[in-house]
Amino acid sequence: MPKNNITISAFGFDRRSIERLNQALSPKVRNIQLLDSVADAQLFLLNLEAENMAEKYRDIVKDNQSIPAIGFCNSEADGWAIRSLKMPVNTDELINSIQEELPDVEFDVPTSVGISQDKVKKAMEAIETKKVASKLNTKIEQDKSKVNRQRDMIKKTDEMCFDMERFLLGHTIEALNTLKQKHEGALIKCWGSKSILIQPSKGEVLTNLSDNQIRNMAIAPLDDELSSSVEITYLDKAGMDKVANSISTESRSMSVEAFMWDLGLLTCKGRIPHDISTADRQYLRRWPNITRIKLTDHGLKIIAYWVRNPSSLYEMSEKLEVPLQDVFSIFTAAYSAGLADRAKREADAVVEAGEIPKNEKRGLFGSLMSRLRSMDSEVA
Amino acid sequence: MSTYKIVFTGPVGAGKTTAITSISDIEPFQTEEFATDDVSELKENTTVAMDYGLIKLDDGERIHLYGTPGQERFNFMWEILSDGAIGLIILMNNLEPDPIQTLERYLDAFSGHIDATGIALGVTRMESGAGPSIDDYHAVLSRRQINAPVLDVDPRVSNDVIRLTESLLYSLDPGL
Repeated sequence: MPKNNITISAFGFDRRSIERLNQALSPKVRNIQLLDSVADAQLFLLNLEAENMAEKYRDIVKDNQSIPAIGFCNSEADGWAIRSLKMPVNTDELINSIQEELPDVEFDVPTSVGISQDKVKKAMEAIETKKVASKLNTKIEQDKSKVNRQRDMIKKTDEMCFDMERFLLGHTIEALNTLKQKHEGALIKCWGSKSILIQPSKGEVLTNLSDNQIRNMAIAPLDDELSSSVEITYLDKAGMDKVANSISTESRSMSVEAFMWDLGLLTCKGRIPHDISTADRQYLRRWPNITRIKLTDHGLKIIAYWVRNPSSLYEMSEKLEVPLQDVFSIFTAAYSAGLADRAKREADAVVEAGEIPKNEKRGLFGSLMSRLRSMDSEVA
Repeated sequence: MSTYKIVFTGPVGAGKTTAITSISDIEPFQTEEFATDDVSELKENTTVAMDYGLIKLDDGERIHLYGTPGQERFNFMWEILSDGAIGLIILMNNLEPDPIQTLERYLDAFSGHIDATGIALGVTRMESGAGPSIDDYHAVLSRRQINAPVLDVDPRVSNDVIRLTESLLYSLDPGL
């Protein structure tokens, strides 16, 4: 029997943050409805870090004194007489808090997502234990993300990183950044007559290098004695047309995004650029055009999760149970293609990276995926 | 045994029939008729009821592939075919006069289905460089808060259609 909606009003959050909250809550509780108005609200969610929230909350509760509220804050919610949760908020903890605030309301929890009433009860007991432990000043881990960050700092080693500047990748990214400012195109010359012409206005790269030659250029550090040197020339419109005509007879074209993705993937060999923090949350702006790029074994899985959940690279590896090198490869490829960067938006810090909800059709999808992969190899 | 299906939809000439043919284990069943209206300027035959293909899985299950008719006067078939589908693949012809507007119409028409499951968008005929870019299509989806794969697809190339279908499955369940 369908359960009544649980209407929750969110205040002080931007649109993206409310979307993130919705994305995090809806797979776990089907009848939660987030509103941006006071009318019909059964509970308020407040961003205590938002400007003038204290005044706004006073106005809201004036006519709604019986409605409970939960605050989101960065550290401690001093002076607030409401329950508070630290951002990024753990979704299960948030759901438990909502249940405690609304004990008479029925939650429509899908059985397959693994938060049965029994589990919820256990989680609530665990939270109570944590509260007691905190009072006793013990060192119980209260903030999983903080622990992750500390562990990440320890784990990042030199073998996991590479210096982009030593490779064709770094020079190409630099050329693209320079192009944004004042030039029409850039010609990267390598191996005598071999060259790469980047034309950002067309979103296109022309090159007369074969796939093998690109692979060799990508993986060899340019400061190695045996490597080819690279020379970059910036071109105006006339210069670009001339060069394009001169190499077009034996060249092939691809999108800048696909070229940079593949170059990043080939160069990194399971590593990340050394200035990337494994602790920071990274976002993937959108799905890459996966019919025209190279992928790793777990590439699709990483992309599908990451595009919805800005996460640290460790979080992704843990939640998806895929090798870290695979995550690093996809990150470096996306970063090189301009599709990934450090997550700085308010919405990225509101909730923890989501768990992967169990899908009741996973078995079917898995069988279909195997069949598609066998077709793929038949075609190859 | 349950019935599972994936629906391919999109306007005339987007490549739905070809895409189904690329991955079907059987010779697709087509309800094509000689085109007599404006469509005849685009191609000789057009789908009037549906295309049908099938993928046979190792465990005996079958995935039915349905292609909707592209002409909007047959849109009464869209809901019939998409009812209960596990996912929806929309194909857009990038060389048609206003593919973005067309996409909006399809997103409206299938909005209930999109909310309930998910979509993957394949854009065909991108090779000429004319027409909207992948980013333009993403912008349309983003305005509707749809986070879905958008891929440049040649429906004649099996690998492209396989990747498009894989992206649909992973976007439905990243835990695969």
